[in-house]
This record gives sequence, C-alpha cells and structure tokens, in this order.
Amino acid sequence: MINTIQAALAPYYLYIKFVHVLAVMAWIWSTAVAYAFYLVPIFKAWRRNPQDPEVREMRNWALERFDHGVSYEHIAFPVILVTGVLLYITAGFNTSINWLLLKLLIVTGILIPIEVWDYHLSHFGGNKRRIRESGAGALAYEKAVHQHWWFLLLTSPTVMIFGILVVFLAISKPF
Amino acid sequence: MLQQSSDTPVGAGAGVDASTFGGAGADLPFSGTPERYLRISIVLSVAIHAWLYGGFSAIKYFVHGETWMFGWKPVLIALASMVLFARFAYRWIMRLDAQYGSGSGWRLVRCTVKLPEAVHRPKR
Repeated sequence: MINTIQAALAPYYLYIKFVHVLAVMAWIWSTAVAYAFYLVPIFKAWRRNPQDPEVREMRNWALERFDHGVSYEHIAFPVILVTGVLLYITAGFNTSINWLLLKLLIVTGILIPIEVWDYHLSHFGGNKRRIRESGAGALAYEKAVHQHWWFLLLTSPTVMIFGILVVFLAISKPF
Repeated sequence: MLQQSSDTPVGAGAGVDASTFGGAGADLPFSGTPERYLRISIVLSVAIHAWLYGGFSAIKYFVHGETWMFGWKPVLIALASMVLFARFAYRWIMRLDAQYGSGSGWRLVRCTVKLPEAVHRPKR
C-alpha cells in the first residue's frame, strides 16, 4: 500500500513540496501585520485602560476582524498537514532521521493543539461575532475576548520559537 | 474620513458609551497577573521540553535502539533550553500584556469612525 502510494507520488514530489512550502509561508505570515500592528497595540491600550468603553469597542471590533482574517492561516494549516504526510511517504522518511523526528514532535505536540484551540476561538464556539449575535450577553462576550487574549499571550512566544524552529529544522537539517 | 476631536493619554480613560461590538460589556477584570504568568511560563516550558525530550528519547530508544540521547550533552541542552524558554516566554507575555513600561510611546486619539462589518446572510 505504502509502496504503491510512494511510486504513484514520486514524480510529483517537488510539486507537493511547492504546495507545502507555500502553505507554510501563508500559515506563518498571513496574520503577522494584523497581529503586530493592529491587535497588539489595541489590546495593550485596553490592558492599560480596561474601563474605557471606546477602547473596548475598538478592541472588540479588531478581534472580530481578526477572527475572520485568521481564515487564511486556517486554510493553510490542513494543507500543510496533508502535504506533509504525502512528502513523508513519498520521500521514504522515517523516525531514524533526527531533525525530522524533532520536527514531527513539535508539530504534533505543540502546533496542532494550538491550532485546534485557535479554530475553536476563531470559527466555532469562541467566535466573537457569533457570541454577540446569539444574544448571550455582554459577560459571555467579555469572557470570550479574555479567553482569546489568554490564547494569544500563551501561544505567541511558543509559536515564535517552535514555529521558526520547525522551518529551521526542515531547511538546515542540522542533525 | 476620521474626525479627530481630542487626544487622550494612554494612561487616562475616557467615558463615552459605545456598545455596538460589546464595548459597554461587563466589568470583568482580566485574570492575568505577573505571578500567574511566571507560573504558567515555567509549567509551559517544562511540559514542552518533557514532550520533546521524552518523545524523542522514547522513539529513539524503543524503535531504533539508540542511547546517545541519554548522554550529558543532550540532557544539558534540553535543560538549558527549558530554562531559557521559560524566561523568554515570561518576558514575552509580560511585554505583550503591557506589564512593562508606562505606555508613554502611544496616545489614544479620540475620533468618530464607522466600523465596517461583514453581512452574514443565512445559507440557503
């Protein structure tokens, strides 16, 4: 079975790699400007002025737009996973390759759980627009915003180090 | 077009009701504190490194019969990385959550705007 897939996909290895790398670029950078230059300054202003209704209004609007804008990242991520598995099979990789094993552990144990949480916050139960339109109330909305801020606080340093480490390992294959 | 009416320093609040996007929302204090961030950074770093070092060593040992990961150098690198990441994560979270500095590099400009919102039509 694996050999059949390997033989069938072998001629397309570089094309699969192209899609994989393109999706990785979108996953890493698609929210960078919105995050760094819009979301973070607004959230810092809110943390310094938590009672200011105008700042909260801006914060909420920005976060709702961010929920929507993160779609590019969330389309790219499954593409990365599918093409990653195809590359693994096609190239005949296995866990004896040290850099690859470390990369897979980072992806499965750190990045996938982060993205699952992010999908929930942005598109499913934690989506702020849906909570607002559902009439759940101001408290439920505020809790959802706080939960998203907790997510961003905890995942930002993690993604910054381990997201870049994944790319470094794949390109430099250091061990 | 923005209509700027006044500037407010970042440190000072301004009182105008605005509730379209939940701006008048509940007075719910955010639960993050520096002590909590420190604890979380340490736990996060230990958990991540336990997963990476433990998972890597387990697969190498049980699947491939290798033992080099148990030498002092890999262990030292894992421990050093754990300490450095905990410190990095704590400082990053503190900076991101506006716990450092006074915010004097920014000012809040009051203006009147119309915020675009997507119209979500029900699916047929």
